[in-house]
Amino acid sequence: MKRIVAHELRKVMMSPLVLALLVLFLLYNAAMLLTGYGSMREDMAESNRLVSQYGHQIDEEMLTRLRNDYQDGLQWMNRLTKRTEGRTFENISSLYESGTHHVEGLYDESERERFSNLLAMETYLRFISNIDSTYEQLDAMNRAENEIRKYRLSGELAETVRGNYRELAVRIDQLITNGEHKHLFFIGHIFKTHSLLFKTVFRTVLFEVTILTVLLTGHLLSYEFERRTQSLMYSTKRGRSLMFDKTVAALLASLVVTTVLLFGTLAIYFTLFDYTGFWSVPISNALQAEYSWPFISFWEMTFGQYLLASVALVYALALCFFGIASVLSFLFRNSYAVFCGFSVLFGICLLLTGIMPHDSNWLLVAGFTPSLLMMNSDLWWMEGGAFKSYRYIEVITITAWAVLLLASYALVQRRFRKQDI
Amino acid sequence: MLTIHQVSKYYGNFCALRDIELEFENGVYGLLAPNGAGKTTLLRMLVTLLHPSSGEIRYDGVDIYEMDEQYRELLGYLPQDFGYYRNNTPRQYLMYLSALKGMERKAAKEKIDQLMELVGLQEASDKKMKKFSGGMIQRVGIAQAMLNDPKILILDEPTAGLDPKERVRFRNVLTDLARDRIVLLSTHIVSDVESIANEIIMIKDRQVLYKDRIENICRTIDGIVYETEIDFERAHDFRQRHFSLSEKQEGGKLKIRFLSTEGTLEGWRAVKPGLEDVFLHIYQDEKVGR
Repeated sequence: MKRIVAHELRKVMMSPLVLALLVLFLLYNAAMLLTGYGSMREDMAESNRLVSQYGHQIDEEMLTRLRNDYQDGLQWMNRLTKRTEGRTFENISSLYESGTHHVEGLYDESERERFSNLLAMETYLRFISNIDSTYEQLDAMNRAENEIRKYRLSGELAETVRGNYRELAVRIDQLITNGEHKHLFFIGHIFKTHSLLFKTVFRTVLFEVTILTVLLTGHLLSYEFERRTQSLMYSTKRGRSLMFDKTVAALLASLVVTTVLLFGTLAIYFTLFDYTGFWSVPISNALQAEYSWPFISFWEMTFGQYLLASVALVYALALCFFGIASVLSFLFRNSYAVFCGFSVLFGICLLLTGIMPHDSNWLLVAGFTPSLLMMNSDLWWMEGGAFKSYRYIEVITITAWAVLLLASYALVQRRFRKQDI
Repeated sequence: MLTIHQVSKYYGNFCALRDIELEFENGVYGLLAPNGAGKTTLLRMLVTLLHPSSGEIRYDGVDIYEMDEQYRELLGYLPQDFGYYRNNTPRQYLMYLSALKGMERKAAKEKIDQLMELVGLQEASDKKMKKFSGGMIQRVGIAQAMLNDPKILILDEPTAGLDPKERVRFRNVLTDLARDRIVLLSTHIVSDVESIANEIIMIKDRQVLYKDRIENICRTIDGIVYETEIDFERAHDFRQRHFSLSEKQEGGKLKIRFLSTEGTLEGWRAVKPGLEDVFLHIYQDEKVGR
C-alpha cells in the first residue's frame, strides 16, 4: 500500500494546476502582507519595546514605572521644545498634532526616536486608563438583549442565546478576577492585528487551502476515470481498494498543502510583525479590542495558545473539506464536477441559516457548518454575537462533521465496491 | 478451472448476456462475436469490474468476488479501451501497475525489462507515451497484462492497432504462454484467433452459441460453402440469391465464395469451410466488421 500511496502522491506533485496554485497563493499572501503595512510595523516595534521594558502585565508597579518614565520624558520633551520652538506642549500628542516634530533641522534622529517612544507610552497610558471602567460596564445580558433585538430572535432561540450569555457573564467575571484583560498588547483600535492575522490571513489561507484540497482530492480520486484507465487499474490485485489508497494519498497531500500554505504565510507574517513579547499575553486582553466590545475567549488562553488552537482548527477544517471532496469524488468521478459540487454545498451551508425560523434553535444548529466556521475565523474560540455565543461551537461542528463524513465515506466506499465500473 | 454458471447481465431492462455457461482450462480461447454482442461485458465480469445480475463465476470452485484480491492476483487484463498516462514512460507506467498488482519492486523491474524486450519496446521504454503510435501503446498494454505472470490472461481486442508483423509476434507469444494458463482472447477479427485458439466461443442473441474446437465449429456448415467464377454482369443477381462470403477478381471474372443450400450446381466447387465462413454465416443478419 505504501508504494501505491507514493505513486499516487507523485500524481499530485506532477499536477501543474496544483503546483501553480500553491506557488501563486504563497506569492499572493506574501504580497498582501508586504504591501501596505510598513508604518504599522514600525509602530508595532514601539509596543515591543514597551513590553521588553515594562513586561506585559499591567499592575500598579508597572503602571507607576510607566507613568514616571512618561513624566520624565514629557519634561525632557518640553525642555527641548522650549529651546527649539520656544513653547511647551501638554503632551506628546499635541507636539505630533502641531507637526513640528518632523520639521527638518529642528530635531535630530535620536530625539525623534524618543518622541516616538513617548507617544507610544502616552497612547498606552490613555488606553490603559479606560480598562477598568470598560470592564465594569461589560454587561453580558445587556449584550444578549441587543443581539436578540438586532436579529429579531424570539422563542426558544432567544432563550438559548440568553442562556449562553449567562454563561459568558460568569466567564467575564472569571476573566476580570484572573486579570486576563490587564496585559499589554498591540492596541486593537490602532493596529487591528487580531483582524489582520485571524481574519485576513487565516481566512485567505483557508480559502486557498480549501481550493487546493478540493482540487487535488478530486484530481486524484477521479484520476483513472478521467484518463479512462479505470478498467485496468480497478481490475488489478488491489482492485477497488485503490480508491482507499488514493484517499490516503489525497489526505497526505492536503495536509502538506495546508502546512506549506499556513506555515509559509505565518512565517512571513511573524517575520514582518514582531510578536516576541506577546506570546504569553492572554488573548482576552483589553487592549486588542477593535470595537467597543472586547474579545472574550471562552477559555483562558494566551495568544500563543490561541494561535495554536486556531492552527489546529485550520487543519480540522482542511480535513473536513478534504472529506467532503472525497465523498463527492466517489459520487461524481470527475474533478470538475467535484469542485462544482463542493462549491454548491459550501454555498448551501452558508445560506442555510437564512432560511431557518428566528424562533427555533435550528437556526443555531444550521450555523454548525465548516463554511460558517471558516468565514468567522477571527471569532474562533471566543464570543462573537448571538450566533457565536455557544462556547463549544467549533468542537461540535468539527466533531459532528467528522462523524458525518466518516460515515458517508464508509457508505460510498462500500457502494463503490459493489458498483459496476 | 474457471467456470461461468448461469450468468446473466442486465442494464436496467436491457439484457446484455443471458444464462452464460462456460468452463475454461489452460489453453487459448477465442471469444468471437461482432461488436455489441456482449464480449466486453463477459470479460469485464471475469475481471470483477462488473457484477453479474444473476449466476456465478467460480475459480477452482470458489466465487471470484469472494476471492477478491486472491483472484485478481491471478489476472492479467488488457481492456478494449486501454487508457494510459500520457506523460509516463512505459517503465514508470508499468512500475505503477506492478505496485497495484502487489509485485515487489525489484522483481517488477526485472520483469519490465523482459517484457519491454518481448514486445519490442526496449528502445522506447524511457520515452513518454504521448509520443507513441497506437501500435506501441497496444504493446505496452500487452506487456502490462503479462506483468504479474497471470494464471488467467484476458485480452479484449488485443491486436487493434498492431501491424501484421506485430500480430504474428503477439500470436506466438500467446501460444507460448497458453501452455500453463488460461488465455481468453476477445475479437471480431477471425484471423486473430483462427491459428492459435484451442477453442472458439461464439455469442449470438446474448447467449453462447458455440464453445468448441475450430474444426467442429467449421463442420456445422460443411457442404454449403462453394466457390465459383462468374461474369461481372451476373454478380448483382448472384448476390441476391446467395450469401457472398468473399469475392476477388481473377482472370477477367469474379471469383466468389458463397453459401448455398441448393446443392452443387455446374461450375460450383464445394470447399472446406473456414472459421470466417462460419462467422459470416452466423452473423449474416447482423452488421459485422471483418
